[in-house]
Amino acid sequence: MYIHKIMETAPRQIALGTVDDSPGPFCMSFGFTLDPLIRSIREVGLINPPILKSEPEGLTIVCGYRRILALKELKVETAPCRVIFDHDRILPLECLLLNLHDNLATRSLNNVEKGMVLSRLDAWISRKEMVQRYMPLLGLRSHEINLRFFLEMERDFGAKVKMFVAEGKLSMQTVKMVSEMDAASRYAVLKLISELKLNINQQSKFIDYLVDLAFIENRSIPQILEAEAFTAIGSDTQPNRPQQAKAMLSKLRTRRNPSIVNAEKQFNRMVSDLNLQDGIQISAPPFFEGENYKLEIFFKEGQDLKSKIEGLNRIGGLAELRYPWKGIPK
Amino acid sequence: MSASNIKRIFQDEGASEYSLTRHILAQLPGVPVHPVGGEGTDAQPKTVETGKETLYLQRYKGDFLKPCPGTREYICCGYQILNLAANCPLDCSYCILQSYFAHQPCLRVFVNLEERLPEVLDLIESQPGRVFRVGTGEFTDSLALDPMTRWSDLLLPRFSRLKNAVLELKTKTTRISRVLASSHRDRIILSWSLNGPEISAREEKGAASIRSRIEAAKQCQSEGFTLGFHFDPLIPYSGWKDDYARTIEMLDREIDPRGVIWISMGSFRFMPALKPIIRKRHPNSSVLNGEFIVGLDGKIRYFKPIRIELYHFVKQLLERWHSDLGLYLCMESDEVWRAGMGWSPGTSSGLREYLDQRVVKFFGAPGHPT
Repeated sequence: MYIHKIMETAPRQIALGTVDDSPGPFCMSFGFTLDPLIRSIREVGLINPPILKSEPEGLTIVCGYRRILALKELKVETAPCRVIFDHDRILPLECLLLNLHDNLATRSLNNVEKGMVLSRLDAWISRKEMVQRYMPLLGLRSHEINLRFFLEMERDFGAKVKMFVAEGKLSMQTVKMVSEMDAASRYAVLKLISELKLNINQQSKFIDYLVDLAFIENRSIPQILEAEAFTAIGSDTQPNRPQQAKAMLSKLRTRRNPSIVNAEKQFNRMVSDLNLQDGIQISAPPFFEGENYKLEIFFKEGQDLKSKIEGLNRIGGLAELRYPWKGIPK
Repeated sequence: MSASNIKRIFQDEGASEYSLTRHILAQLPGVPVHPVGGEGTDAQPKTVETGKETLYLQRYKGDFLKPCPGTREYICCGYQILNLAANCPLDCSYCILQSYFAHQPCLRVFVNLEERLPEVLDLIESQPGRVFRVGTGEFTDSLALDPMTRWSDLLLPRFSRLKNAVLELKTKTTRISRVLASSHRDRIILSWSLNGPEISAREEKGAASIRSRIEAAKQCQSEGFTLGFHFDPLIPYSGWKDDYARTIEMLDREIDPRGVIWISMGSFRFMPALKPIIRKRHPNSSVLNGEFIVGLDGKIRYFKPIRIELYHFVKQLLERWHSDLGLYLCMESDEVWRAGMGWSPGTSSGLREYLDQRVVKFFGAPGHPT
C-alpha cells in the first residue's frame, strides 16, 4: 500500500481501550488543552477518524493523538479509526510524515513540538536533509546549531521547562543564547527562568549577566547560580515570584557592574539627602552618560508650583549635586 | 598574513582587466580562482575564519572617499576614509569588522582603485582651502596587505603632491618595506595602533608585537616619515596601568616625539551585535569583562568614570614624555574631554580645526608647503 492510499481505507470501529494513548513514536503534541476538541466532539461528533497502527503490542496512534485522548475523556468506548497493518508495508518514517503533514495542515506547532518532530525524524533521515528540508517546513532557521538545540531540547529539557517553551514564554533570543551553552548551564538557566517566570526582557538580561560573570569569575553558570544568594532566591517562597526575579537580577547586576550600581546608589543617596518636597524628583541621565539631569515637579496649581520652586531655592545642597564618583579629575 | 594564507580567490567579472588584479594573481600561483557570478560563487565563505583565507578581487562601485561615519552624539575628528579594501587579515578579538562584515567575511580588495583614484584626487583638489585628513585604515589594516597589493606604490606619490591633504596609513604590522622603498615622504603619515603589550599579545591575533611596531615606527621615522599613534581601543584590565606605561616607555626610548603629528585615544566601544561574536570566536578574550553602558549613539562603551580614568592616566604619561603630541580623543563627549584631558575642542568642528592645525604645523598650510 502506498501512503496516500491510507485515506481510501475504510474506517472501522475500534475499542478505544485497546489503543495505547501514551505519546508514541509518531506523537508531536505537547502543551495543549483538550477542551476545544472535547467541546467539538460533544457537539458534532468525531469528524476526522484517527489513524492507528497495528503493532504486536497493540494499537499505537499515528494521527489523532489528541482526538483519542478527547474521546477517552468523554468516556467514548469505540470510535471509527483507520488502521494500518503490517501487510500494508508502510514504513515508520511514512507514518511520521503522515502525522507531520496532518498537523502542519491544521495547526501551528509550538517549539517543543517542533523539537519532537525533529527528534523523531533524526532516527530516519540525515541531518543535512533535516536542515535543508524539514526545518524550513517547521518555520525554523535552517542551521545545524539550531537543529542541535531543538534535538537537545527534546532530549534534555524537563517537562516544566518544556511547558515554558511551549507556551512561548521563552524568546527566540533566549533560545539562541541558551543554545550556545553547555547542557548543564542551559538546564540551570532555563529552570530558573521558568520557575521565576522571567519576562522576555528579564530573560535576556539574566543570561547576559550570567554569561559575563562566568567569564569574569572563571566559574560555570551552575556554580554561579548555586552560590548561596542565588539558590536562596530560587527556592524561597517569600517574597513572590516577580519580587524574587527582580531581586535576583538586581544581585546579578550588582555583581556584574559594581561601579555603575554603586554610582547609582550614591546618587540616590545625594538626592535623598536633599529632602525634596513630595512631588519633586531629580534623576540622573541613563548610566550618567548624558550631561543633563532631569528635574520633575508635579504640582496642582500655579501657587503650588511657585511654592515648590521657592522650596527648591532654599535647598542649600542643590548646588553640590554632581556625579557620584570620586578619585577622578573633574 | 602573507600571500600563502590565501586559499581561494573570487574575482568579479571584469576584474582581470585591472593591473592590480594581474599583479595579485601573479603572486598567488596555484590558488584557485572562481569568477563571481559563475561556477563556484556559492562557495564564498560564510565564516570569518574561512573569510580571512579568501581573497575577493572586487570592482568597487561605491565612493572611494567617504567621511568617517562618526556619530552625532560625540565629538568626531572629521576624518576621510579612502576605501581600498574591506576586512582585515589580522584577527583582533575586539574588531568591529567581525560584525560589520559578518555577511561578507572575505578579504575584499578593490582592484579598480587606480582607475577611480583620479576622481578622489580631483575632489580633494577642488577644495583647496580645506584640509583633507585621509586614512585607509578604517575597514582594513593599511599595510597588512601592502606587500601583495603595493597600495603604497600607487598612493604615496599621488598624495605627496597634494597641497591640502595628508594620507595616514594606519597599521598593527611591520610591513613597511614598500613605504620605505618609496621616495615620497611629504604629506604621508605612518601610524601604528598601540596598546599595552600584554593585552596586545592576548587580543591582537596576527598583529606584530608592540615592541616590533614601535621598532618599525622608529625605522620609518629615521627614514623621514611623520608618525602618528593610536591608543585605541584602550581596555582596562588587571594591571592595565603598568601595561600601558610599558608601551609609553618604549615610545620614549625609541621615538622622537617631535616627529609625532598626533596620538589618539579611544576606549573600547562596539555595536551590541559584536558581543556574541567575540564570545564565540574569542572565548578567552577579556575585552568584554569591563563595566559597560549603552552610549548615546547606541554603542556599548565603558562607564564614564572608567573612560575618564583611562584617558587621564594615558594622557599624563604621554605628556610626561612630550608636551606637544597632538593628543585627541576619538568619539568622546565634551564632558569626558574636559575631565580626561583637561580641555575640550567643544565640538566636532573644534576638533577638526585642532587636527587641521597639526597638519599645517607639520606639512604647511593648504597650498603652502613648508
